[in-house]
Amino acid sequence: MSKEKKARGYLSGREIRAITKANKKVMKRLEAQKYRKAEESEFLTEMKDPGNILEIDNLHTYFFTEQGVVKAVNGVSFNIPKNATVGIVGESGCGKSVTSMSVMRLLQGPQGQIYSGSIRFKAYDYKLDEKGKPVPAPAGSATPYEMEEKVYDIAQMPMREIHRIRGKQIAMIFQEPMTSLNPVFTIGQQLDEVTFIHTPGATKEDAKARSIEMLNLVGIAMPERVYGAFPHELSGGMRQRVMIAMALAADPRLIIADEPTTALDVTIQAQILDLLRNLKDKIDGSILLITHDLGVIAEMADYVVVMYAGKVIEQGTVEEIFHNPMHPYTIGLQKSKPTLQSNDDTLFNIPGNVPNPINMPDYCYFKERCDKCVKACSGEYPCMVQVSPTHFVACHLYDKEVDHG
Amino acid sequence: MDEIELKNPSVEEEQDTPLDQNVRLMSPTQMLLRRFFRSKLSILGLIMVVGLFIFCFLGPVFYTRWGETDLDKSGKTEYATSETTYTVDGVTYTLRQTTETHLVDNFLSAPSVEHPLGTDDQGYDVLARLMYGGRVSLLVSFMTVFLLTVFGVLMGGIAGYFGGAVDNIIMRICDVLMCLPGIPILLILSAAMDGWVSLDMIEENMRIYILMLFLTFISWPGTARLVRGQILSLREQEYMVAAEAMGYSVSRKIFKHLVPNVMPQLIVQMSLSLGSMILYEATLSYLNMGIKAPYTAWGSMINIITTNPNILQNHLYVWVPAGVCIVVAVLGFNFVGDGLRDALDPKSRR
Amino acid sequence: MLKYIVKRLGYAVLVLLGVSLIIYFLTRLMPIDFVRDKVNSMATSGATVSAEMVDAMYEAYGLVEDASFLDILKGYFNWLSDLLRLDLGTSFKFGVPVAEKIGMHMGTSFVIALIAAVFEFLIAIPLGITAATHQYKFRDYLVTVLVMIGISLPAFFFGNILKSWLSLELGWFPSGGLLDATKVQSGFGLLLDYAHHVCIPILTVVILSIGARMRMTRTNMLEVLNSDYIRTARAKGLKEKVVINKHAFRNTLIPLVTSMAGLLPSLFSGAIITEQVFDLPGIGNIALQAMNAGDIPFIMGYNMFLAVLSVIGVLLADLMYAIVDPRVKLE
Repeated sequence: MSKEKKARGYLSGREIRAITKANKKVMKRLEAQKYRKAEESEFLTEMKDPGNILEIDNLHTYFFTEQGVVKAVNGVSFNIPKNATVGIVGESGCGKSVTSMSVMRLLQGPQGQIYSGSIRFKAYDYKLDEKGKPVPAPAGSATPYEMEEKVYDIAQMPMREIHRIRGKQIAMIFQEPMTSLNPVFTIGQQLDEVTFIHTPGATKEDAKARSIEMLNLVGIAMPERVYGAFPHELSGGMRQRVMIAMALAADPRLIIADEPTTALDVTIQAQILDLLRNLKDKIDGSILLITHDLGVIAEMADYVVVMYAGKVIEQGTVEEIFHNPMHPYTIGLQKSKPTLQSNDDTLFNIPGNVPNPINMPDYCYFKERCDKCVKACSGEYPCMVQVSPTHFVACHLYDKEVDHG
Repeated sequence: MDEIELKNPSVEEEQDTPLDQNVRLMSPTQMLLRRFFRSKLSILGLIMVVGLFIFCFLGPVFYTRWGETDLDKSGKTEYATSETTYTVDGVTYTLRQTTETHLVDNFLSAPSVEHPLGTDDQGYDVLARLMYGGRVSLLVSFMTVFLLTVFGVLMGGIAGYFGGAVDNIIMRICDVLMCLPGIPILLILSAAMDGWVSLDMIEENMRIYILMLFLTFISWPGTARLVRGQILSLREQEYMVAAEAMGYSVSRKIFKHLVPNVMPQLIVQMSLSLGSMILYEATLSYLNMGIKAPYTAWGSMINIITTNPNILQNHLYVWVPAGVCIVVAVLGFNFVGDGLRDALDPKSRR
Repeated sequence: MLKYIVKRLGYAVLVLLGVSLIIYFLTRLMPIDFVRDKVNSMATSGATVSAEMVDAMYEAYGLVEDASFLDILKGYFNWLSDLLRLDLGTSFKFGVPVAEKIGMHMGTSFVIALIAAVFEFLIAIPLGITAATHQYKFRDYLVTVLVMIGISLPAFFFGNILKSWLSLELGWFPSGGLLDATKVQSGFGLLLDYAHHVCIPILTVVILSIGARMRMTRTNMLEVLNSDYIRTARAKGLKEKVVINKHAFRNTLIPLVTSMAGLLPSLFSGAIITEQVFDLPGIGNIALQAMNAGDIPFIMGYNMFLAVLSVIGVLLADLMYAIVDPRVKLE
């Protein structure tokens, strides 16, 4: 017993080897799956609700580390309706960025893998004939090829087909504008590239015109000058505008903004948020906004998804989440936001830390930080309870079938 | 999707373990060892280095038949055939004459039970000389690396600690030394030492030691720059400012903060420079500037072929084993150094 | 830009001054009697060294009996002022001005080194990139092992192995020299003979130097592949091939091109060991012969020549860096 006590807190050599061996097997299989050759039919599917543009269904994204499997996204489900803005909030490390990376299939392999679940996305893509070639459109139409709406299961797509999604259907704005642009190419070259990839037969002039138009759209005063500039000649706010322009250039149906303002200073943050809000009206598409800032969500989002330790714990419309938060965590989050009206000297904080995602228990992950625990909390992980047509919460407090004593 | 067992060993269920600690991770030592041994090459390198050390330092204990300076006096008979042609009255006569020479030394004998790797052009046993020669090569390289590290740390430390003019002067000296050509500059010194040797000012066998000593004096800038850079970056770190504010003593700052930060890189650099120093020593010995007979070093054993093309082509066993030893040693240290770099550099984490 | 270059040049002059000091005083370690013996023995063996020439040189170098510190210093400045007039003195061994002798043999070394460098880059860059894009896979390990072997092989050993095997054993290539002296050749045949003679030396140099270059490419590529802008490029919808060959490669090119510029001067310096092994009349082999003969003017001249080349290399690398990387501005 004493020997075991000593080893506690650290893994033994045998355990490490066992983990590595098990990981290797799983990673190998998932990598093979990722780089396989597949017919289009293998990843075509149907939407559950035709009003949605994206449906994430029971998504599990794991990182296979030497210390164990990190279940960064552990059964997440939510939908993004057409032309809506959905915000994901949560503390750092809760899996919100990993969710977006999973949608883009940008996870760093071979450790990061989508383990199971599906990501259904309604794309507007070229119609393909039996040989997998695009069907040319009849003369006089706007696009050179015939287009149709198709639903892809992104989680099942092999990597060699993923360029159908990235950039064209779903574009992404990253957190770090300072390092997200390639330092050796001019802004113009990087912007033009998007047009070249996604518009077959685009000429240099077309691409440049499109790029300048985009730079204008994101409120850059001297687009011609910025077009010829290198990234290091621009400020952080300007670079983020360029990133947004790049995201918009191919008319994507969904834009994922992963903490787009976190790395910027406050005044610039406000400008970028204004820009995003205005753009939302101008473009024909949805936005998935990822942030830890509740204020940003309140201003921008139509629907809110609250994540905690790799799971969705509450979701609903922005009004429901802000006026009627139900999960103790959501309530805590809102309380910990400083307001001018409050007279308290101290800020509220949620006690404890985010649990380590390697080894999760069966009961509610929030249990020990929660001040409203009931008996059932020691039992199984709570399932989603529907409290209104759009409002869901995963907490035993609202589960009518469990004992609240 | 078929279910695969995902292994996550957990702590024995205890109700009061907080969730953020409800997990067992690797200890830092485990992490280090794991990263080092992840690459099979570092294991291979370790085996090579340890194996060579055992071979050179323990080998002669078991292989006692021949010592380093023992000549095989068992003798050797050489036959030389000469032909002379005479023409007498239109008839050609050929006179074949075979000379039998009895020689004292059994030199250039092919590998046999008596001499597993044969004997060289003097009659020394190659295997025994490989072991003794390795001692010289390894010891000289270790000494060199040790000295140059001490010197580099000292100079870098002084430059980084005092800064200003001192730093400037030391760094300019580094620039000058880095522009010096390596082998050619050693050749000058060696030429100068030819003079000393001919005037009996030094012993011939001191030459390689003096050359390597000089090599330490021109190759410390790398280490010095590393240490200086580390000190300068540490100065900028918040925790050093905090240590300053807490009134920590200089020795505490050095041993608690500086040493642990520099050590990993220093170890990596040392193990990599061991390889390059072995190469330097071997090259100098090959150029006939090393230990002279009856003693030897690996490089010196290959030196024979510069004067005797016959050995180069027909008696591979005389010089190839020494070359293989050099390659194994350098390769071993490089593999270990690379493995250490991966293990100690947190950025290289997989 | 101009101001920067002038500043760097001034700085380079300072470094060279330091180098010249070290070289001079190292040479002065040679005992005067020994030098006299060497010169005398050379004169008797028929080298074109006249007594006046030797005396003039002794004076110029301050090589007088019981030299005081002042004499040595005077000697240094004498030598330095000659150096500034590009007068490296007359070689004891060869009896011609050192600069002329260096110029005579520089070409051979340069051609071999240049061809080897071209092969080196052509092979090392693609291999380094493949290793990086297949990190921890078989290809990566293979490249790593090749890299390590390349770095660890001693030139004299590997060169001799190739010589013993490819030319002595198999007889595919001549074992040394630059030309077959037994044949009278001209034009294309002559060129072919040259080419035949430099094959193994070039192979030796390529294999020995390729490792370091491959490792450099791999390390840089890995660093670039982990950067945010590569993620952006992928998110744009670029195919992986384009991401690597355009976005990542263009960034990896920065240190590669820089190192290429830095390599340029060293092409003239000669590979001492390889040239010795294959008995090529390159500058390195000549220098080795001069050094074995205690040819002071040549040794000093050659070492200064090497130092100048490496200073120019550093300078060129810096300038190149500013040209290739748009972020770098010289000031």
